[in-house]
Amino acid sequence: MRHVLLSLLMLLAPLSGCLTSDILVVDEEGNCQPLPPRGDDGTLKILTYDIAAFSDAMLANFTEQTGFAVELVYADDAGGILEIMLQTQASPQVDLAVGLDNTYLQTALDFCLLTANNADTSTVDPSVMELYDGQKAVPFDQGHVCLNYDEEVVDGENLSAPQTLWDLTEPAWADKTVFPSSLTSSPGRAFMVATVDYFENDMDENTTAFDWWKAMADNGARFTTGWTEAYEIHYSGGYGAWVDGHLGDAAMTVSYCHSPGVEAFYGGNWTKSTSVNLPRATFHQVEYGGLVNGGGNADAANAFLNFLLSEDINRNMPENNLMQSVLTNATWPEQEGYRYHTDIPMLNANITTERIGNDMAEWLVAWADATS
Amino acid sequence: MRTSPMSSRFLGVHPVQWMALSLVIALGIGPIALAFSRLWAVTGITPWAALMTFHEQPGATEALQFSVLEAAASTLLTVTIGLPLAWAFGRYKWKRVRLKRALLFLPFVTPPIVAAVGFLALISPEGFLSFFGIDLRGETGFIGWLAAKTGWDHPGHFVALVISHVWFNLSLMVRFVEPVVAQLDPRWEEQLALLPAGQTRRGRLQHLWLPVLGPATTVAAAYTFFFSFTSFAMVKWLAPSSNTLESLLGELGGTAGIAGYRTETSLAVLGIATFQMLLMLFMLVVAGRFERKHSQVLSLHNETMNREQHGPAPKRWAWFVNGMLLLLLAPLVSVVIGSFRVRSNDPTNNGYEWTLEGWKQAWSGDYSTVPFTEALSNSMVYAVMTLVVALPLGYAVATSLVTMRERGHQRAAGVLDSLCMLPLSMSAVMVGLGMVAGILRWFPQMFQFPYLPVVPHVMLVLPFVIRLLVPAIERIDPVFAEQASLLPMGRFGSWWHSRGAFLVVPATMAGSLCLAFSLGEFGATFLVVRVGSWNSLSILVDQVASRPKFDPLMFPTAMALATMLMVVTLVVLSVNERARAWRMRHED
Amino acid sequence: MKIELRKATVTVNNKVIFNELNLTVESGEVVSILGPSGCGKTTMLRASCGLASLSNGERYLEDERLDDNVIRPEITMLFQQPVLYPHLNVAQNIALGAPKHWTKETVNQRLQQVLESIGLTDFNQRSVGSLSGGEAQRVAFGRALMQEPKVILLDEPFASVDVARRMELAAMTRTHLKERGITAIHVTHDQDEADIMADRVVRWTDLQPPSKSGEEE
Repeated sequence: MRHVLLSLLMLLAPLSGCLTSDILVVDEEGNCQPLPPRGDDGTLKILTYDIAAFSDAMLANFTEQTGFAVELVYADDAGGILEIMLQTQASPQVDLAVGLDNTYLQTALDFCLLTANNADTSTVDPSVMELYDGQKAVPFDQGHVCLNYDEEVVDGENLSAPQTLWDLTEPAWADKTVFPSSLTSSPGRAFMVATVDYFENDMDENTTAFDWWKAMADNGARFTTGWTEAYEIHYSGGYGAWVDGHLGDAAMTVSYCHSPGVEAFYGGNWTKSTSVNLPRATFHQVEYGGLVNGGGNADAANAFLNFLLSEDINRNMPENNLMQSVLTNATWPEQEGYRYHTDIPMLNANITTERIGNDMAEWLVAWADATS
Repeated sequence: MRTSPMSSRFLGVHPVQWMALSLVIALGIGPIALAFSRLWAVTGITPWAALMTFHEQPGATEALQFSVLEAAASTLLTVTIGLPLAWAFGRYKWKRVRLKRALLFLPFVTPPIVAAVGFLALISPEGFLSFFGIDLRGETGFIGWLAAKTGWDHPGHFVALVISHVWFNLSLMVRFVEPVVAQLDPRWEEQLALLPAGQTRRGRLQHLWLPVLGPATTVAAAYTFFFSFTSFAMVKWLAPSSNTLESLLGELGGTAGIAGYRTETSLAVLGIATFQMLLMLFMLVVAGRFERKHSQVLSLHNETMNREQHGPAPKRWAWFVNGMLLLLLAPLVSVVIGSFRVRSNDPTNNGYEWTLEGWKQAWSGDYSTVPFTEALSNSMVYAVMTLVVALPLGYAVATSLVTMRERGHQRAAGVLDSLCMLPLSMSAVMVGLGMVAGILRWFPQMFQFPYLPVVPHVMLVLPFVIRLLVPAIERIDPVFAEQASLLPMGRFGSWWHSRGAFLVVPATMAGSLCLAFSLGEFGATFLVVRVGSWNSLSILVDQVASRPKFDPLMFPTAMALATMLMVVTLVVLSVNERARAWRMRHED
Repeated sequence: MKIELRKATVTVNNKVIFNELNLTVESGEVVSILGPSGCGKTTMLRASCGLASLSNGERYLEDERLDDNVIRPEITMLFQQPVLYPHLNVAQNIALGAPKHWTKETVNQRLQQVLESIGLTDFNQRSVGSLSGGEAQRVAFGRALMQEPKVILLDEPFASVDVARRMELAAMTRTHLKERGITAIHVTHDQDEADIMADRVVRWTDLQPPSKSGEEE
């Protein structure tokens, strides 16, 4: 009996004392306290999601150039990166976080998850730096989130392209739209932010974005967990037609303004997908890399950020990562209609990163209520 | 001179076995306790109070209804098909039985995303089922009519999900039931055939097959229910408009347990996870009690002789078993086909080209950060480590429980048994949260430990190992041990001849489960932090298959990796079956 | 070797199986104990070899008192149903009785002798699952002989064998026991079998004080 108790005690006793929350990095005045770094062990640990550009070859290239080895730690998506950083903030296990976008960045800054870097951002386009120009995050790619639709369905005869977002709540669009959830998808979340600005600036002062979302839900809009499910399974205008299990029951979804360009690039300069280019109905999304507060290998981390911003790597973002470069004079590739089929937004939603950080929690609750 | 060393034992169990038991229980309790305490701290609400809010959580009641319905349907269909399949497979003499057994087990260890893709190929509007006028995916035709007539939301998706669960879990039924059939002393049947009760099929079912196969079937059915109830990936792929409780938790779980951030999801997760855990525990206890009540010590018989005696299967059974094998392989075959097929760039039709490019990309590793060979090596290492840790641990626990019951400590054994089964009742989200909280608090260096993935693998496979070994040990006639104590054998010899040799077959089964669970990455979701260089082959497949497929080569590359994973699994399972063959050869 | 039970009592779940049983079997003697089924004979044999505990009383081997549950290599037992290990063939089952210090050659030599003596010379490689009841019991007996025990306890060893063969086996068994000077306690409910086997036949009821066996405490 002694053995039993002793064994159980040894294994379970440490549970005592775990009924406390773990925020250690913000002082009473809300200032960020730097955590002691976890030390340099020669291997740069990067927390990221499955970024296509981070191939074996690319990482090997970095190691060859700098001598720093790299280890990737995966989250499911941009939101997952933030979640893991929050979960592990008391004892960070990574050195660099790459892939937080500007809908998550402010939260990361508010929770003091990032610390200052010394990467050289002089070659970054000023329009990108406008969104955030502090020392704790470095942009490495960008895109514009917008609605995409199938031109064969929205052919101007049976169905016309919307002139306002309220057009999508009409019976003609019933059951024909699909949106990745704002709760679980970063493009979905970005588009939701855009709708906040859109409806704050439309002619009707009595309705908000969430009235529109409710009307969309009432009009048969589908909501999926992630972008993949919405685009591959439901959206009829994209590559999903070749994917087993494709339903193609939605003529419109949320993606990027350059997604039709990517479709054409891989589809032999042909696509039936195009973007909805309404003012403020698009969102300028920028993805960032930043040193983790409490992480180690600072030299390697800074070197990686500079590597991401190097000409060789960053200019090739459209081909390697299906996103746009952040460097000045960035262009889309000409080949196979990539640039031709990419829309340039008329006017992006204008919501600051700070406001996103302050209001996002409230917006998500309102969105969930509106669409449930 | 030998004595029974009872003085150092408690409830008849040796201290070393107590340590093993304690470790297994702690492995199960630890993460879940940590997760609950974390959520409690973040929300300021007890699990019980959160449970009371279950019905208020968006989608929870619907998810519960859906979980119960699809799990019940899946279980019923699995038993209906699986029981006769296992019976026929265990009774008759089959050619290439080891290969067939390995093939039967393959679905169980197929990563869900691979299975999902395979199923989608079959149920698509242009898929295999469309030849019979059945469109489960687009829900046109008969399925559409059914939906309209009954008001049933997405019946096609429901049916597809149930079929996929049956597909996964048939092998469970075979794994648990087949050995009982194969090793049953033929005198039971022969005796019954001479009695009035045994003259009818119903009588034979009632007086022989149901009592004999009931416990094993119950266990397999219980696991089928658990797996179906907690279905996650298959729900998202095959029934995207629906949620089980587990998939709902999966959606919410990433943001749970973080102080000051999205507290509403912490509350939702706490309430839903508490509810699910209590429900699963209840079902586990009930299933365990049924199994205990109806288990009996059956005399074991030589499997080869039994099969010889019954001979090859009659035609109808041969058609049934071989037909089921083909059906089970169908989704996997479509995965293989998918690896050679690339969509053409001809914009005027949905044409395909046949090419090896996907295989080349898979081998070269251009689409991933871990080459195929490294992922394969990781998979094998994890699988072997899982086997090496879980099998002895599971055996130590199984013998402890059997000993306790033999010594009359039924209640203690029952409680400890249920605690060992805890991982089955737990949500992957909660275990992941608990592991992160626990590891970070006490052993943050563990995140640098490259074999960390083995921990959740062991945790999840242990209940199965224990469930396989306990009845197997109980089935051994104790007279063999008594006889061994009277013979001049050493300790190991005595153990081997009175117990070890009888457990070769169930241990092989358990070993297959260990290897298969690990290869299939059942535990991957338990880890919130996934280090790239730890990627197993299964994770690699998932990684590539989940990427946007603008590039036509992405999908065939993923399918090529999936095919390689299936081949590796088949080889490993076949090798493992050799142990069983050794036993059968020895008895010839 | 002489084996004795003195005032041996076994109680299981408050039921007295036997009470104050006294039995002495001299060295080399074969004693048959006659009693009906279920009277406690098997339990008595199990207690004699240490497989069951005595609630009271003592057990002696060659006048040396043995502690409860101590199993001595000099004592072996033949169970009512022959206990043969299904994963081993006939030869391997018999060889399990070989003392550990024997060399492989010695084991093989003795094995052949035993097989011959029990009339199963060609059965070396046979699977035990294919044996008849009588053959199986002979293999079990052969294994017991391999052990070169001083005492053999036989629990209705021929119960599963037909009548004709039973008497033959009983005679064969007695011959082997007497040749080797092995002390034996043989329990049966068959008078004829007891007469063939034993130097002395004892009734079960004579082993205990009257009117106390099988009573509830």
